[in-house]
Amino acid sequence: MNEMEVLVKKEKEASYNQRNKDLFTFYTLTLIKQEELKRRHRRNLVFVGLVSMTSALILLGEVEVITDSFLGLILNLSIPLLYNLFYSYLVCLLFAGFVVLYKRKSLF
Amino acid sequence: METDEELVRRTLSEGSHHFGVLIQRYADYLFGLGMRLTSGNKELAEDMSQQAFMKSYTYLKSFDPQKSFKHWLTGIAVNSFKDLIAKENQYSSLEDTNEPSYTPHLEGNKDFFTLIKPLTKEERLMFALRFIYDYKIDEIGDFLDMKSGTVKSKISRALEKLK
Repeated sequence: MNEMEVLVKKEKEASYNQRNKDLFTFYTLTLIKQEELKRRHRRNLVFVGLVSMTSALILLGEVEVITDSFLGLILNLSIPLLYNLFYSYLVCLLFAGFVVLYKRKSLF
Repeated sequence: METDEELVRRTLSEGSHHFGVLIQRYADYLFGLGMRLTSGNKELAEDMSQQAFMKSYTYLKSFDPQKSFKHWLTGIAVNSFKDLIAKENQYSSLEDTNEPSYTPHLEGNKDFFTLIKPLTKEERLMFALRFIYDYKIDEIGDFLDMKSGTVKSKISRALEKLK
């Protein structure tokens, strides 16, 4: 058996022990949990980013349609409403005129 | 006592606290491997074993329960050692200052570490796996992603250096 074989045999029999196994385990598990949280956080960020980018793209693409339909909605609602208001106002004026005329006749 | 495979299954289904048992079980083994690969550098050996545990947790889903967990973990530790070497080389190329460098705290069988000193880090890795841990050439090839022939020739070159 030469010197190298003796040293290899001696090294095979040697045992190495981690300094403080409990502390090492606790620290490694903490690092693992930290990594896990970091990964989850990154995944959430990517998800939120993708959702907001997609919705922004949809909104920008459809912005003309949306404004058109919004304005259309306002006009559709306001024109009959204004017409009704104006018509009611005219009716009120006529009615008031008749009342005034009738009262004048009854006075004289 | 729960088997490694059972602990892996429970880690995947119930959470990382079951992995603590696996860390406790293999902490000394990986530390010893680290000491042999780093020629007794305690800090580097601890770093290496910690990296190996963290990586193994990340890739735990890819573990095949038909195979040995220890074998799988050794493969990960070997790759962590390769990463450490790459990082070390990257930093040492940047260190051109006259400041005193960090002297690692060396421990263990000094005669053995003196014996393997002339070897490169890769040769040291192969030598330790082959002659201390009795891994087969094919297995070392699998760990290092190398052909068996290449591993064989590198090991015989290392042995030539040591004669």
